[in-house]
Order: sequence, then C-alpha cells, then structure tokens
Amino acid sequence: MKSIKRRRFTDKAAHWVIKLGGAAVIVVILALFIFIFLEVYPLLKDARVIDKKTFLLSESVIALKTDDQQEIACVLYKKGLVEFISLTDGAVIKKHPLSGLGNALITSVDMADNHLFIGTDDGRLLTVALSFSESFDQGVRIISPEVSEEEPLCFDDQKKPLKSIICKKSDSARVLIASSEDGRLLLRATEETTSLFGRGEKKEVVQDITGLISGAGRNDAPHLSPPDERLAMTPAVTSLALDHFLENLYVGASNGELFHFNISDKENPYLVEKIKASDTAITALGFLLGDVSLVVGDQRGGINVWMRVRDEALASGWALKRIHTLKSHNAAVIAIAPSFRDKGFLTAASDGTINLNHATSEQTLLTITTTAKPATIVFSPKANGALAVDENNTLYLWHISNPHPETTLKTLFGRVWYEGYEKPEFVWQSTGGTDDFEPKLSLTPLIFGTIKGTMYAMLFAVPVGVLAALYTSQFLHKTLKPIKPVIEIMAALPSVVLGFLAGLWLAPLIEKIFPAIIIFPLFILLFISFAIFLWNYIPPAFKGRYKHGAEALFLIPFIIIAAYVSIQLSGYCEHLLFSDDYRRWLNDILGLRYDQRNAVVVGFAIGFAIIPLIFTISEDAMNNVPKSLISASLALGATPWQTAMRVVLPTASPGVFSAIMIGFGRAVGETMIVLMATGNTPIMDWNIFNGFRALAANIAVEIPEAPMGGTLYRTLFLAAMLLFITTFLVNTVAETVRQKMKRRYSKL
Amino acid sequence: MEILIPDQIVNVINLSLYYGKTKALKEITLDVSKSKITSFIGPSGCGKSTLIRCINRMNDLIEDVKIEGEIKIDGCDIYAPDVDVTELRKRVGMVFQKPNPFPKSIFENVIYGPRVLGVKNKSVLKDLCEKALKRAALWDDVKERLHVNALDLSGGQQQRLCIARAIAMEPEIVLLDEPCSALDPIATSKIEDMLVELKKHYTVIIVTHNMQQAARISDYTGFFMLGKLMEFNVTTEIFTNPREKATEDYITGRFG
Amino acid sequence: MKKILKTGTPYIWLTACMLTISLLMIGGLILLIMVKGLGVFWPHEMVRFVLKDGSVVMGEIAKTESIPHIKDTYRTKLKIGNRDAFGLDFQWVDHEAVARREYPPDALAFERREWGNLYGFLKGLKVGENTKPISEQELEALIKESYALYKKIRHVEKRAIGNINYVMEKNRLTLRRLQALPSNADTQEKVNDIQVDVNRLESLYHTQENLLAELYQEARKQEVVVTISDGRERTLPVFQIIRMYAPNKMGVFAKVGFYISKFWEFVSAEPREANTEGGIFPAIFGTVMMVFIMSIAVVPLGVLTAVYLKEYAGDNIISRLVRISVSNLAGVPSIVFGVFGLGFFIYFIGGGIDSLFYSESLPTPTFGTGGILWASLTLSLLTVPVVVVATEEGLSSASKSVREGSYALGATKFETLWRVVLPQATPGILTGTILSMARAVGEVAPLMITGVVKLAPSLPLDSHYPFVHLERKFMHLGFHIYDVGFQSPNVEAAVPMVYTTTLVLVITVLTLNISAILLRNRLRKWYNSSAM
Repeated sequence: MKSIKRRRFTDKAAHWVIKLGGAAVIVVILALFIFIFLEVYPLLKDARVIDKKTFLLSESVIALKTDDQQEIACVLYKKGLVEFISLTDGAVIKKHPLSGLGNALITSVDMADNHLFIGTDDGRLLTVALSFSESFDQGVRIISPEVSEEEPLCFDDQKKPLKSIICKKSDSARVLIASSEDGRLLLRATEETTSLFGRGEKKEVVQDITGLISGAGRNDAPHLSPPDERLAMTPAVTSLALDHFLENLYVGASNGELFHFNISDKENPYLVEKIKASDTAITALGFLLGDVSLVVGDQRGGINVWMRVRDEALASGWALKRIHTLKSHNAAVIAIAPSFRDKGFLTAASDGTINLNHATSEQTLLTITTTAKPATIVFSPKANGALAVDENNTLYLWHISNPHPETTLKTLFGRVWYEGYEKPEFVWQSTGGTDDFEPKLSLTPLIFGTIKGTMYAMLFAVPVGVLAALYTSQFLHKTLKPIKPVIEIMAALPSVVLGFLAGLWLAPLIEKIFPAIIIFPLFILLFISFAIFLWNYIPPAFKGRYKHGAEALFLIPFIIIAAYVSIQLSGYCEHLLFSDDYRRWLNDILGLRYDQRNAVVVGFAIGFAIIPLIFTISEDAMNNVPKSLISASLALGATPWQTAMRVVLPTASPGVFSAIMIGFGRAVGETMIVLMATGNTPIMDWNIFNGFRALAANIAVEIPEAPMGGTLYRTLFLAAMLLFITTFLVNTVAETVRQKMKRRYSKL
Repeated sequence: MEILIPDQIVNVINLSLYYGKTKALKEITLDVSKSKITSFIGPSGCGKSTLIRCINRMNDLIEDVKIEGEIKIDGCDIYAPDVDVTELRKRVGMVFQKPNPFPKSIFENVIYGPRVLGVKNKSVLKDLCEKALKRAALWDDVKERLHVNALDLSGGQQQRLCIARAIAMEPEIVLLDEPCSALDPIATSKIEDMLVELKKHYTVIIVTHNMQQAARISDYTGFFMLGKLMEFNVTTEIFTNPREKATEDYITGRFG
Repeated sequence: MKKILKTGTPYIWLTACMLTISLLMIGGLILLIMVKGLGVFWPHEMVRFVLKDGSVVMGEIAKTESIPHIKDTYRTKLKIGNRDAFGLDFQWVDHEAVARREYPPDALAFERREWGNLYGFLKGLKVGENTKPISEQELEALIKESYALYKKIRHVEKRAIGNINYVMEKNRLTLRRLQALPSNADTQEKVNDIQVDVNRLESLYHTQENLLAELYQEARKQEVVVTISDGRERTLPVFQIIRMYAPNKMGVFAKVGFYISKFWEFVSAEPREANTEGGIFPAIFGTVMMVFIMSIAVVPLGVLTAVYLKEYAGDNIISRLVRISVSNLAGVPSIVFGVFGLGFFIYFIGGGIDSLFYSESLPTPTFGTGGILWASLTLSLLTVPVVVVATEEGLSSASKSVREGSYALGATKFETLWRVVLPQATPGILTGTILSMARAVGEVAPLMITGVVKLAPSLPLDSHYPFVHLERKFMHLGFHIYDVGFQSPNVEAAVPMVYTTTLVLVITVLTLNISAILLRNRLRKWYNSSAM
C-alpha cells in the first residue's frame, strides 16, 4: 500500500507534467515563430563597426591596399616608398623604395588586382606588382609581401605631371588612360594578336584623345599637341573610369558633364554619349563590381549610380541613365572604392566622412569619419573592412560587419532597377553564373505566384466543396451517408502523389485535350438536364428505396459520358472554335502563351487537395444547423432548395467561411503540387496558361543550396515567415469564427 | 359520440399512421371548425403531435412513414398525388414546441414566408410584417428594433415571433404544437390572449399537454390516448361532462 | 421550365453533380494509379516492325495513339531497350511506315544490372575466344550459377570492404581527436596503437581488393552473344543478367509468375540505374523508420496536450491559447516546419551537438546536417494536432459517471486518469497515432530539406555499433516519387516505376487511414453506448 504522501506527490507531479505538456504546444508555436523571426531579423539591420584601429604614419600617402585577412596594409608614400605595415601592432614589416621613380614625385595612382600603376610629375608611368604570399609554419600563418617593379614607361611626351591615371588589362591587351595636368587626355594601348600561324604580334597605340572631349572627334595628328584655343574650350578632366572589357571609357569633367567613349577600336575611339550628370563638377568616378554600373560623385557630395540602358530612341540603342541615388555627402566626394564582393562601395568626402553604400538597395549602411580630409580609401577584399589614410597621415582600419547590405524592405518587396534591366522591376533571381552577379531578391513575384495558384485553386474548389457539402448534408439519402469517409480519404492522399499525377499525367493530358476542358461544363449541364428528364420518367418501383437523395449516384454514368463525349469532340471543337490549333489561337488572338505545366493544372490539383477540407468542415457546419430551423422553413412553405439557400447556408455560413479560410491556408502553403505541376518560373502574369513560382515551392527549391546565415537563407526564412503569418492569421480567424458559431448554436 | 361541427374546414377521416411497423395513429376521424380554436390534449406519446403534423404534411420529412385514410382541407384530399406540398404548407402554417426563429433579423424572420413565395416589393413586405407582428401582439415590443437579431428576444417574444412568422403568410389554418411548453407562465398567458385574438382571422389547431390552457382558450377539444382519439367535443362539455372514463381520469389528474 | 426552376430541383441536381464530380475524381485517381501502377511489371509481347525502308525495330509496345492533327493515323511507342546500342529507350513508329509486323517467338529480353534491358536473339555463349551455341535452358542455369558469384562480389564490395572503410574512418577520427590533445606518453601510445591497426587494415584492404579483381575476372569469362534487332551482335557477361525471358512464348501462368517475381524484387531490392530500375526497399525502410521515430516523439506530446485540454484546463486564457496553437500547428504549411527544422534542429541543435561531441570530424557535420532524427522530429511537430484531436475524442468516451465512481473510491485525479480514463481512451490515442503516421508517410516538403536524399549509401539501421544511426540521411517513398519523376535524367524510362511507387505509397496511406476510420467509428459506437 502506497502512502498517502506518496500518492499525493504523484498526483501533484502529474498535474505539473501535464500542464507543462499542454503548454509545450504553445512553446512549439512560439518557438516556431520566434526562431524564424530571429533568422529574418538581421536582414534589415544596418552595418556596424566591430573594431576600429588607427596608426600614425610618417608621411603623406597616396595609395593603400590590404590583404584578404586585413592583417597587413601596403601604403605608397607620395615620395615613392612602398611600406608594409602590420595592422595588428603597426610595425613596419617591409620597406621598398621605388627605384624606377628617380627624383620624380607621384601624382596619381591606379590599383588593379595586384598592380599599382603610378603616374609621376614628369609624365612617366611605373608599374609595380604586389603580392602577399602565405605560408604555414606550425599552424601559424605567415604572410610575406613581395614587390616587383617594371621598367618605367614614358607616358607623356611633354613630360607634364599625370593628374589621374587608369589602367585595365585583359588576357591579350592593356589600356592606359591618363589625364595630364594641362588638360590633355592620353591613351596608350598594347594589344597582342595571335596570327594564324600562332605567332604573337604586339601592337601599340599611343594617342592623344583630348579632342574627343572638345568635340572635334579624333585627333588627326596624335602626337601633336592640339591648338591652344581648343584646349581652352575643353572642360577639365577630373576623373576617369574604364571597364575591364577595355571598351567603355567614362570621363568626368569639371562642368558636370560625363563623357562616354567607346575605345574598343583603340585606333579609332569615339564619343558615344555626353550627358550632364551633375550641376557641379564631377569629382570622382568608380565602377561597381562587374564594371556595369558607374558611381558618380560630385563637388556637392551627391552620389548617383549610372548605367547604360536600352533605349531605341538613340542611334546607339543605349542611353546612360541614372538608376540609383544615394545619400549625399555634405562636401565634395573625393574617392570611391567598390567592394569586391557585391554591389556595395565606399565613398569619401573632403569633410572626412566615409559612407558605406549599397547600390541595389540604395541604402547607406554606415558612416564613419576621419579627422582630416581623407587621402585615400580602400575596401578590404572580403568586404569586411575599410581602410583610409587622411591628410594628417593617420591610417584607419575599421572592421565592419555588413552581412546583408542588399536587402531593404524595398528590395524585398518593391521594384528595383537592376543592372541590365530597362526599368525598375520585381524580379526574383537568387543566383547567377558569375561572381559579379547582382542577387535579385524581390519576394513580390513569389507572393504573386502564391496568390495566383491559390486563387485558381479556390475558384475550382470552393464551389465544388461547398455545394457538394450542401448536397450531402441536406439532400443525400441517409443510407448513402457512408460516402462521406470516401471524401475524407481524398484528403489523405499525399500531395506528392497529386503533384506527380498533375505534372506528369494531367498536364500532358490537358495540353492534348484542352478544348474538351472548355466544352466539358456545357456537356455536364446538358447531361444533367437529360438525367433530370430521365429521373422523372423512371417508374417509382425502379427507383426503389431512394426516392430522393440518390441523385449523386444516378449522375455518375452521365458525367462519365459527358467527359467521354467532350474528349471525343475535342478535336472537332478545336477545329471549330480555335481554327485547328488552340495554342496558336491563344497566342495570336489573345496573346497568351500556353505552358504545359500551367495554372489550370495547378489550380485543379490544389483544388483536388483542398476540396475534401472545405467539404468536411462545411458539411459539419451544415449538418449542425438545428433541424427545428429546417422544419420551420419547410412549414412556412419554402421548398427544400429555398430552405437550403435561405436557412441552412446562412446559418452555417461561419462554418463555411472557416472551411474556406482553412482551405485557403492549405492552398497558400501547398508545396509539392506547385513544385511539380508548374514550371516554377517566377513571372508575374495572370495568364492562366502560364506557370508561376510560389513562396512555398521556392523555399523547397532554394533552401538546400542556400548557405546558412547568408542573405538568401534569411530571405527564404522571410518567405517562410510570410507563409507562417498568413496561415496563422487565417487559421486564427477561422478558429475564432468557428468558436463563435458554436456559441451561437448553443443559443438556438 | 358524433357531434355536429359547424362550418367544417378540416376533415380527418379514418386516418392511421405507421412509423415503420408501429401504428402511431389509429383510425382517427374528426372535423375542425373554421375560425375556432381546436385543441388536442392527451398524455405524452398519445399521437396528438403526430396528427397535427399530418395536417401540413410535415411527417413527409420522416423516413418510413405510411399513412392510411384521408385528410381533407376545404374538401380536397391533401395526400392526393397532385398536391403541391409547399402550396399546402402555405395555407397551413405551423408553430413548433420550441421557439425556432432563424438567426436573422426580426424583420427577415417575419417576411421569410412571403419572401420564399417571391414577394419582392419592399413596402408590401413592410406592411405584411407590421400586420403579422401586430396580430401576434409583438409589434409594440419590437417596432423600434426590427433589424435586431431575433435570437436576442426573450423566449416568449421568440415564440410570438414564430407565430407572427407563420401568420405573415396569411394561412387559413395555424397549427401550434405545444407552443408554450418551453415558456414561463407570464409569456404563456400573453400567447394565450393572442391566440384568442387570432381566431377571428384564422382557424387554430393547438396541441397542448396543459389542460387548463385547453380549457381556457379552445372551443373544441380532442382527447387522445395511445394513438386513439378517445373523445372529441365542445371544450366545456369535455371538461365538465366527459363521456369517457379515461378522459375523466386524465382531466381530473388521476392519470398521466 | 420556369416552374421547374422555381421548385429548385435543378439546383439540387447541380449540387449533386458537385458531389458526383468529387467522387469521380477520387475514384478515377485511384483507378488511374492502380491501372498504371499494377501494369508496369506485366511482360508485354515483343513486336518486330519491319519498316518500309527496310530497317527493323523491335521492342515492347508502350502505347499506341493517334497522331494529332492528322486524321486516321496512328503511331506506336516502342520500348526498344538496348540503351548502350541505340542511345535511347523509346522510339515512335508511324503505322504508315510499317511494312510488316511480327511477333518472333524466340525474341528474348535480358534484364541487365546496368544499361537497362537488352532485347534480341540468343546467338551463343562465348568463353574465352570461342563461341558455342547454347540453349535457353542452359543459359538459364548459367544465370542462376552466376548469381552466386555476383552475390560473392557484392559481399566483398559492400560488407568486407565497407567494414574496413568504416573502421578506418573511425580510426582517422580518433587520431584527429588525439592529435588535438596535448601530447604525452599516454596519447602517444594510443596513437601508435592506431597506427598499427591502420597498417593491418590496409593490408586487409589489399587482399580484399585482389580478391575482388579475381572475382571480376572470373565473372567476365562467360559472355552471352546476342543478335539485336538491327543485326548487330552484342556480348553480355552472364553475371550481368538479372533475368532472361521470352515474352512471346510465355503463357498466362508464366506471366503471372514473372509479374510476382518482379513485384517482389520491386519491394525488396535496392534501386539500380539512378533509381529508375530495381526496387524501392531502402525508401520503404526509410519511410517506416522515420514514421516510427516520429510516433515515439509525437504520441507523448499529443497525449499530454489532449489530457491537459480535456482534463486539467479550465476555460482560461492558457487553454484557449493551447487550442489556438493546436489549430495553427495543423494549419501552418508543412514547408514552414521544414524551414524551422532546418534552422533549429539541424543548424542550431545539430550544430551544437557537433561542436560538443563530434568536433574531431568537423568541418564535416555529423548531426549538423539533415538526418532521419531531425526529419522525424520536424514531422512530429507537424502531426501533433492529429494526435491531440483524436485523443480528445478518445478521452470523451470515458463518461463522467465512471470518473465519479473512481473519485468516490478515493482515487486521486491522476490515478483516475491513469487507471480509468486513459485505458478507455486507448483506441482514440491509437487512432491519432495511425492518422499521424498516415500524414507523415505522405509528407514530403519538410523532409526534402531536413534529411531525405535520392540515394542513401546505407540504411539508418545496420550491424555497426550503435546499430541505429539517427544522424544518417535516408530515402523516403514520397520523395522518391518526386525525385525519380522530376529530377531523373531519364524521366521517360523512369515514370512507369514511379506509378508503382505511387501505388505502394497510396495503398499504405489508405490502409492507415481506413483502419483509423474504422477504429474511430468503433470508438464512437462505444462512446454512444457507454453514454446511454
């Protein structure tokens, strides 16, 4: 015999365990939401500085570079010294005086990959290669920087200082562009062509292309200096940008004009377009990763992103257009440093503010400051840090956490002007073939797809489900009630089975007999009329026990025959209505494209999945309508149909509503059917003969490929959160309405 | 026991009713007089409700019901094959034991009958509603709130509403199946007063297990037992001078 | 006409029609799956078309249809097999182009372990350089013989070498863990021990490898020479043949026998040829095991919740919240559970387990990647409401009087629950469990991202300690359908098998559901009688 104490203890313990177990369900649903929310939340957070360091340098610096790990900075002093500085303690690791410089001073620098292109005050060009070689010694990584110089090149015959310089290389060619202090624009290109016999041939073009700016076209005598008056009319070149295709050269001018030259033929470069990009002087130009979008900074601090967009009005077919505008600085923009990872970039202004921007999302994620005017800035190779040197010779290092610069509410839901697009659009394209791919993460097409699929499914399922429920609850003969579990079994069919059949059986079938689908409803009506006619003439003895309420069974052969007849007449109907080929007809007359896996198929398949749901819940609701109300209505002389429509349906309407809501929730979240029965193309088009991509299917397709914690991963969590919230609201509303209805019935 | 009923409107002739194999009504014959209240009394399960439901063919809704004999209204057999049931029920209104207003507004409840018959004119419907509610002595209670949900009314009001709903169709006969069994005495007396008023316009047949009620309001009373009509006579006669022993036992409370 | 409309009868017929359509859809769907799924293994006659241009096509008839847009023309789709020779599995033949159609009785079909079926005529047996004629019976015997050899090869490949690899991998991980520790004499000794073991295993591996090479050499000695439809000769090692049959000579009984053996292979064997041939045993096994683990997780949670709602909760805010949670768990899309499972179970909990207990094998994740445990747990969250609802109904069957009887005898609430109420609710709990299983069997979307794979190298249950490997990925019937039907490189050849897989899945789901419905109906009857 157990002691009372122990029994009481057991009872208490059980009480708590059960209470906790009950509460566990709340915990589960909360955990579901909170966890998903926590994964989504960082998407909208701004960047932040994790760590900031400063080092004092001895002299003024003109260029700066760092390694992948941000452990070593390479600085180039104006007087011609390359120095490697440890970013952990500021110690100088290696010094390398540039021997090729001689007594000249450095006036301009361009950095590309691992090369420094240095312009001097005597018109020469130095190329310096830098490299960081890594080695491991007992698990410790050692970075040893290397410097090698190439032979200096005399760039400007007139030996004027090179104010700015730009250099790009491809496999077989190298193009150097420089602007001299006296306003000339110089081009020097070397191309290696491989002839038929495999012998390499080197070709060098040296040109003064100042005339292109002044509007005179190509200079006839490249090595002669242009007349002075022409020079006077030419706006001063302030900045240069050249893409890595060695084709498009952009030149910013002091009057705010932006010149676009095509230099694909190095001997005959020509002006493509000249636009007024700013009211004040353009002070900085820089390409974003991929060399398609051009960032333009001006004297007043304005920052805009420009891109060539298709424009049929222009002869070239392309026009430069401003696609993004970012937050302005308060002072002249002096430097632009693009990220090597995404479409982000740093801009520095003369007042010492440095902004971290992202072009696609048009947001300024972070503002950091230097004490004096920045001399040079650089984005670290992994885009997780920024370096700058100011005119007080202070070197700054910021470690930046900036995991999701490309997402804002606008990029997630709004129209965005992506690179290569003619106008702002809703696009979902999460991955691309190249490193400089711009992720397009607009959820709008997916939401659209979800709504489209759901809507077509509901169009099919609601009438069938609700009316079948009405019939079953009000008119079906009692002895035939076992039909109900059959429909319940329909609910149990796995959606993967429905999706498989929809995609591989139904879709090709519908494609083949599409006209039959159009005429099928007509034949159903025809055959029902015929059935009613027959029914009235069947001798009562033959009808047996089922006077009324067996109509559904009686109709089976008629509907089968109707289907058969419509399929048989499909070809004839196609001939008659659609001039022999309905696909061409749709395309020619209505301008609709027909996909095999389209919204009709999906609507049908999802409808199939939600009919039993709608049926069961609304049948329950209609069955629970008190019999006394039905008697009252009949006693008042209403026909059974009038009773059904005026009493049963309105009284059960909350139940029917919640049935529809629950069906809606199910359709919204349906994954496998949509995945298998549509082409999964994220297009926005109401065309019922097109496919679409829905949120749920999109998650299933993309999340296995999404690296954990990445932007895509979190965006997919956001999609899941949207689904969660939608279905949560729908279900809660449905549940509340149902509870209310229950209370109301207790009153009846 | 043959009594002469003046101005006959309903004739039940030798009516028997079977639920499956059980005989629930046994060879019943009686006549109902126009513009009078006829009440059916008897112990539970005696068949009085079954009989009243036969008069507007509500028993059609129940499976396995077989009927022998005839019921004539104005001389026409209502079980003849060419009779339209909805037409019949339009002429014979019915009020049930428990108030069963539709979960709609009071107005919608009252005009439900005319509506299903296809009356669409709003002012006609309003007039019908007012008239019916006045006759059901409910007008003064609800005229300010015709668009309130009928379920918000009290039980007695709900039952009067159901009566108003039945008479809004202008039936010739109103059947009441124990209309006061679910109500308190005050509500009951209100309904009784109303019924007495109603018989000016309609023939009323009421089933009740409350003998005092039958005695108070009805002109003719039929006493049923075990599916049989034991006695049918002018009310005063039945209550003061019953011919059958069973009737006497019942009304004096020695039975049931 | 107007009068008829007024009675409403046509509308009633219209609603009846909706029910009819629903019934026809479900009936038609099941019929479709049955017909398509059951017909797959029936041996079809082999037809040889001699075309008007003189070329010959031979194969099994897959289907015949009319050519669209051209009247009274037909074409036939032939399964021509011999993928290695022709490069495709199917070929359409227009009836216009056919000169002659024949059914050669000696046409043979060889089912191969690789490259699908081979159709042709038996030419002889090639041993070494010599080819000698051989009868079908003799070849049949040879195929049986070679099967023993094949089993031996499989044994060496799978078990012997597999075991060695397994132990090697264990050693490698132990070594890594030891190396991470500060080195002293003790660990040094262990490292040496492992080194010795590794050397031993390596020599063992080499002997097995040599054995395998020998076996293969022996197996390749006997080759069948077959003439295919275009007259070319193909040789085929005997041990590569799974079965050989002459469809045009088979009687009904032979065909039934063939059908049964094929069906048995389908449910009991492993898949071959990128899941398009062979069986689906690993998928069935994975599904069953996943459902089993899931029910272990879901039943306690579901029953506790139901008991709480029915027995312990009053009408307060918490119980209302629990109800809303339950109805929402039922309504939240399954893919959301999948996403949660991926983020929470796999990356959060699994990743945590890995860094605590399996750090030596990082960055290769052990529990930090999809696996049967995580898939099962994810599904158990999804199916909780099913168990809750059914259990609640079961609990209702214990009437108030029974409880009061128990209380009157001095039992505590828990004792009443445990000894009186729960035993009465058992059928309800069972119904819920079965229904949740049925739901889990058919669910695919959340599994796709929490651990299902198209081809799992090993079952989650095997002879290696600790026998049950909850971290392993697994195969699943539903996902198999999706994968083979939509991701397979050769969908056309794969689809017939998918129908059979679908049939297996549908039969499983329907059986579970029907038994749950029967159980529930019994419960309701019982409830009604006990309430009397």
